[in-house]
Amino acid sequence: MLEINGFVTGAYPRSEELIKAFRKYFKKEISREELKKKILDEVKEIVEVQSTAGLKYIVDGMFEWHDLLRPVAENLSGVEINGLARWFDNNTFYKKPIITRNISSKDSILKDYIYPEIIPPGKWKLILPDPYTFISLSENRSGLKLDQLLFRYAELLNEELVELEIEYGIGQVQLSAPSLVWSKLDEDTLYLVGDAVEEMLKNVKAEKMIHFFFGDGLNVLPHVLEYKVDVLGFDLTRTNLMKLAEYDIESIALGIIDGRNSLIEDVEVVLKKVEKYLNKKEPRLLYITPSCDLEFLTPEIAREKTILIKRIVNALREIF
Amino acid sequence: MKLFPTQEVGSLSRAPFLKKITLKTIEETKAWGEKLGVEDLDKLLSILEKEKLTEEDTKILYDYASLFGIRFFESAGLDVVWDGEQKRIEMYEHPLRYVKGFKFHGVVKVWDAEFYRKGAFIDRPELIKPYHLEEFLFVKSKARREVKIPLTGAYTLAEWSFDEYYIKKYSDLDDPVEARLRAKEDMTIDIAEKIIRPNIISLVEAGAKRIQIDEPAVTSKPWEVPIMIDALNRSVKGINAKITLHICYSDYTKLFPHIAEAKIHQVSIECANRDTRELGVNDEKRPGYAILDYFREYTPWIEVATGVIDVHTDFIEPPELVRDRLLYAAKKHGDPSKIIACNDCGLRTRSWEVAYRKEENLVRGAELARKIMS
Repeated sequence: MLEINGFVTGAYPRSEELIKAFRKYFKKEISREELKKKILDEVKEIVEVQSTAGLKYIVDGMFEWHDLLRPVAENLSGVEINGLARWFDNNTFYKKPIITRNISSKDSILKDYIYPEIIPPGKWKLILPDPYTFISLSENRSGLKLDQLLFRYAELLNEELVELEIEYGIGQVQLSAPSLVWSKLDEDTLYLVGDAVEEMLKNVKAEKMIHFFFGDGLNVLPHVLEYKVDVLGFDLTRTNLMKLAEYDIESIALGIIDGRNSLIEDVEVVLKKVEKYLNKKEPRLLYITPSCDLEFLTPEIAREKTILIKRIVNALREIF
Repeated sequence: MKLFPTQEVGSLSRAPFLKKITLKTIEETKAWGEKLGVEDLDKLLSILEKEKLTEEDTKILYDYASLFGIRFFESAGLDVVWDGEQKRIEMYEHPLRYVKGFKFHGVVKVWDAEFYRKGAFIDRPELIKPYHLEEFLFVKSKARREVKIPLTGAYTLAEWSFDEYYIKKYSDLDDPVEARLRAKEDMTIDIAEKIIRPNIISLVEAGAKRIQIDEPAVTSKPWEVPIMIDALNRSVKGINAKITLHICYSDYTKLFPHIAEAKIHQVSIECANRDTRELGVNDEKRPGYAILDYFREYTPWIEVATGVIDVHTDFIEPPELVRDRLLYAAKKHGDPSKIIACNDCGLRTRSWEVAYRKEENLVRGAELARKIMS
């Protein structure tokens, strides 16, 4: 029987107040404790929004994350942070990591960036860059080859994941993998990444998802069907849903809510598209999600889109 | 016409008296006013000494800021000037305040704690009134050198906005990429024809002879470059003015071959940011200007305003470095008469002290290059 549920797939936008607080913190006008208090308030609020929307897994908002790579880049030895680079085709930028030598962990990589204690037990969703996205978006001055770095990254993050799971319990781990679909990679690279993903997620008991966004999901099919993950997620602002239906994907996350546009999708229009997909291919597990992070939107619109997930899930449950 | 004429590109940081008025800013204003030879300085200083400013006083302050901006570039010696965009808020928000069919939603992140106020097109846009005309008339009345007015292009306004109108028409398409491309095209063309073009017409009718269209967003989606070119051509069709297209911090190779279809006279690009600071007129020392091969091959008729001043650093380019950058650009392009000396982009992030020294050396460097070529 088809199980239908929903969740978000990335960071929430900071409120204007929180942005100002970060600015004051950078100028040393407020302390880290004062900033943390404001972040915590925002985390609590966004957790409440997702809980009220009945989402299966809940993110803490990722308000500490300046970009997807930063927490990892700042907490690995052998990595420095460089200047700004464009984040795919967005009007946003990330600070490019430079890998200067073989990477190792200094301490816990994520402890200053996560708020799992605010989230109801079993529902915490942790999002991390997949090995290929992190390594390919960095500048490699280490002299090490791609496969060496991929597996080293995977090893280090796996240690972190296993520890976090023991300490807090994780509902779902999502590997964000935009670099895998941004352009069409060769088969060998896709298989190599699959092995690295397996290494990164080994012994992790949480539901494991890999989310492909900012690019065409067909670029990685059928190879990713063999990845050792539970759920494959796709950005349907870049992927033709009916072409996706040509593949047997048992557990699929449909990124059908545009995370980069403010228009609140018409539920009826979304239903028609999903129905068309389900008439061709019925998975065991279907998630309704945004196409990518919601941080490209304003806080108000991000909240509306979160509630929209619930409306679409409820409407689908009535039909299926 | 002289070789390597000099021009600015856009913004300058705010005039000192547009920030908080203190004794220090009054002194700074006096010093800059005297250095730049700004007329009626006493009137400005007497306004700054008032306890409370009226609305009329504030308007006068902005006029003076514009005047300071013009004299800034003129006294540094530039051939083509603007006022450093002193009266503008920001290149996206400013024009959209004058557009019906558009609604601001709130702030969105650019990076870390940098953000901009973003909105959505909720209907087909209509221009409320030309938003640079008054500004242009003031600058024209005060400038002693040739004037070039910048305005944000249609593609950038579309790309940096949400779409709550155009995408609906294509919601039934199975191919989401095709749907978004068509919606983007419709939106950009409407902005070009209904917003940008009327602005340009009003400026030309008021006497504008040089117009710069800024399109920083264009190479973030290389497959949409043809949309930008089409929109630009619709914006300037039949316009009797020299048109410059300014694009900064981009992969310029993505512009080709489409840019050959653009109805422009000049393109203004950033090169100094990617270059070395060493002297020399060879490939090794001048990697920032490699792109000129493409302009030589595809668009030899278009002037190239090559950035020889890096606007993101306080390093003051020596005139000899400017000289070598220009000489190399001329060699790479093949036609020295097509090379214009300018900054990579606007100087908004630099202090006036730094910006002024950079502009002086831009002018000196161009003169050195000219002497060698003649």
